Amino acid sequence: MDSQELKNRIFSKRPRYANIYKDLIASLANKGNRKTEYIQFGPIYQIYIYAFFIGVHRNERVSLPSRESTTDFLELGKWKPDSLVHFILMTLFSRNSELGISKWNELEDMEEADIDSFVRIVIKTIEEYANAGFSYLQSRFDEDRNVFNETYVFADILKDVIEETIETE
Amino acid sequence: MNNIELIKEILSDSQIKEKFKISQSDLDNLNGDSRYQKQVVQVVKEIVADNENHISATKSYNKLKNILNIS
Amino acid sequence: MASIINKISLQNFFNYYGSYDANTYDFKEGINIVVADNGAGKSKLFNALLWVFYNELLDSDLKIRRNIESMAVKTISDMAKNEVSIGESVDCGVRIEFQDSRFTYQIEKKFSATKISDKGNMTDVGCWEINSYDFEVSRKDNMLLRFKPIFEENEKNEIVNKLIRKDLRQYSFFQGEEVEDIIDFSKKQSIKEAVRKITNISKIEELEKLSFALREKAENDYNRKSKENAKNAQELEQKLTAKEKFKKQLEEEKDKLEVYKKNHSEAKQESYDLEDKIQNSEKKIELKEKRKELLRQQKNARNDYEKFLDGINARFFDGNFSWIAMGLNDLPYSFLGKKSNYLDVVAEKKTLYRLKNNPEELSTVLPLDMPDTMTLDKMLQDGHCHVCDRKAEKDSEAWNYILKLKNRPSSNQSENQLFKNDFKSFFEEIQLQSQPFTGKINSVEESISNSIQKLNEHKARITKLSDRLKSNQNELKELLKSDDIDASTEDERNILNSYEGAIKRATQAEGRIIRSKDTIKELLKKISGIDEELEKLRGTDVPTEYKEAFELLTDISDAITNTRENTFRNMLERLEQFSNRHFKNLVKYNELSGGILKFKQTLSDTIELDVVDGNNNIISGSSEGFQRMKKLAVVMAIISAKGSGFNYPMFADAPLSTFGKGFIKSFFEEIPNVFPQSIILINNIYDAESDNKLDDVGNDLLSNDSHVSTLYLNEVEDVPQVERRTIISKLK
Repeated sequence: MDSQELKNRIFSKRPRYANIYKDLIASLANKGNRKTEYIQFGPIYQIYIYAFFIGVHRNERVSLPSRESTTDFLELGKWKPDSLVHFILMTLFSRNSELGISKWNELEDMEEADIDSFVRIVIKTIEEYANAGFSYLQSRFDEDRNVFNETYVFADILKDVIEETIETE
Repeated sequence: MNNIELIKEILSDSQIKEKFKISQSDLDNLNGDSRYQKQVVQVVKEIVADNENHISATKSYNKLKNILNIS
Repeated sequence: MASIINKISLQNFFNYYGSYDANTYDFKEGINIVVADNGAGKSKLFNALLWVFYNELLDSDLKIRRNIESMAVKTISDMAKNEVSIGESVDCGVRIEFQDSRFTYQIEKKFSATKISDKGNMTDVGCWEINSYDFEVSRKDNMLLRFKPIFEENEKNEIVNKLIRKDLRQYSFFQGEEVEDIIDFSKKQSIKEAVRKITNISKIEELEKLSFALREKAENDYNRKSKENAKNAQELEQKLTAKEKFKKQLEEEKDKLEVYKKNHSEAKQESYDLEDKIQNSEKKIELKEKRKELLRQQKNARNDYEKFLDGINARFFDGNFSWIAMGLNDLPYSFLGKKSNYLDVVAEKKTLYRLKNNPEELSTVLPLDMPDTMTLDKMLQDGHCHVCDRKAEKDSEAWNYILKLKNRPSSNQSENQLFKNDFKSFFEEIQLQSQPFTGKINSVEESISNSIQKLNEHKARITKLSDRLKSNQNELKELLKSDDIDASTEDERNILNSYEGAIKRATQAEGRIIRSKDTIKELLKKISGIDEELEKLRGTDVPTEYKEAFELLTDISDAITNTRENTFRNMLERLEQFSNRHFKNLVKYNELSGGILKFKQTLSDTIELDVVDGNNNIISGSSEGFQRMKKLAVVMAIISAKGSGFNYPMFADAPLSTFGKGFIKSFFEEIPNVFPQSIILINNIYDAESDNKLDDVGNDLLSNDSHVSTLYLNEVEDVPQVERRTIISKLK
């Protein structure tokens, strides 16, 4: 398998999110032109990416519930911009242990089937970081949803988790 | 102003006063006997009275003819 | 002796609930004041007199006067209406008692209404049936005791006229705001009319007409006699005919002149009316244009702000801002480190493989094609290694090594089979493609704070525009005196156009007036020329009496004309004099002198009032209070300049609403100089907080030093409408 093939396999996957966060996502994402009273991101993948990085900063992953309680959305390859997806991959691949490998070189000798498993692990990692991120966001939302009317809420929350992490290091 | 005042006012007009030599006693004796008053005084009195009584111009003129000695 | 109102009594009339006795005002000569806050029956008392004089009432909702019949149910006291049941009736009326030197009179107007239904609001007209309207007048000799009723309708109306004479009523019976109209300085006719009223000049005008007619007749007789006695009757006839023709032309020209004068005064009138609106028109247009511009700018600013706001959160994911990369400063290094490890392992494997399969092949860590072939050739040629700057002579160990380097195989086909999967470019692509994000990690914080600043700048801009709009709005409201500031600019332009049109017409009429007057002069000259010729043509046998009669009547009619003009002019001067006397007294407690009033006759025979200062410069634009004072001064002058004194009471409803304390004081001092009795209804001196509900001006008036004879206070309790009634308390 070559690089292009590996890339395609990853990019064609559609990550999933837990249905319990459906309402939260609806409130904070503006797909199409449906505005809510809260500050919003645009398409779903944006809030998803955001949740992912929250999870990454907090170093938390939470497994998704069973498949029926989850929903998929847009495949990675269609997320925009392209550079951002690569950035996400950079984040993942700098955390080998999370991906279940100790060295990238291990991938070079894998059989196709194993590569597929690996790809599934990559996606699962994304999903679990995001899931943890959503959980955090949900708790902030429940605690005080009025802050979600402030223009810079997302920047503030991201800053909060970063500072939290610094403190605990 | 009432009629007497009006008559006085008219007779005091500078043209009239000068031309007809209206004196103060003329003005003071307006209520006196008409026959002894100057012609101009008689005519003015008559016109003012006729106007007060809403007499027509024709009738008034006919009355004046006597004073004016015309027929 | 003047008419003096003794009492006014009301029965179930608006808020005056109860019988006449319960709602009576006793008035005296001099100043009588009724103080009431708005809604406490002040205007209703005025309505009582409106009913007596005109059978009309002022509808406070529609702000117009309406017939008593159409307002009957509304007029009845709500409390009274509420008390009765179906089938019972209520009486509503007003009663005035006044006297002159000989008699005392009573005038009563009333009606009764029966409740016929309870459905709906008790104030509904349908719930009541009006039974009859009564108008009763009685009179008693002041020496005697008993009132005798008057039955004759004409006589009754005569008596109402004695209360305040009809043709002068507008000068002593009015509502505050009407002062504007009684003597509206912009309606030049109104001063002329006033002068005519007080000089009785119409009598003189009729006299003048009579004298013209008489002169005409005398002339006819003179001409007749002349013709009888003339030597050349034909020529005389011709000349007489010619004179007739000229006289006719003269009459026609005079008629035209009247028309031009009328046009002139109408055009001028219109321009005055528009002038007030104009003064502000240009400014209004300017402000409106400005407003339009500001609104546009505000809309843009808001749009920009919205757009900016919408775009903010996209900045997390936009490679130009890359906010999502915040806090991941270690990431690129960590990735690079792993990539390095990866590449090292790959290189190692490759080397081992090569060593195993191509032991002879040079294994080196140098990447392929480095140094390039040209450099290697040069080094071989020079016999010198340029990298470490040492000799590498031909066929030496060093030289051979360089040769081996050159001869390295440049492709790794065999190596391709080394790995099952070659993912090097996968990782390289990750590093390369994520550049937009990795490159900005360190500047995210700054980018966010720039963005916050930018947002605040947007907000500040919007706030600033809002403030400017607000002050623009206030300025416009001031000028327009209305709240509808978004009405079109069209109106303003129309006003300006109309104004210019009116000025143009006035100027045109002026020109025509002048030319017409010239024509008249010409004609008069011609006529007198013909008269001279006529004299020569008349016979010497004409009895002198005819000539004398004609001359006498001519002189007399001229004198009458002069008298008319002088009378008018004198009265105008007198009016001006008296106006200034009153005006001076009215403003004596105010620091500003307010100028001197000057009347002058215009081209179109109307009268203009100018206000000039000591140097004869026209002053304009004084405060509303001053304007009203001027008008009151002229109104008072109209009354007092008449000479014979005004024999009727003044009854006015709040002419003082725009006056400050200084004015109120001087007003009450001046009024008795003009009116033997005045009844004034005001609210200015009401003070809900004070003990006796009067403010300090009011208390001044209450004291024994002032000229005030009686002072009443109307109050209304703060209870539901059906229980509301006016309570009258006599304070003085």
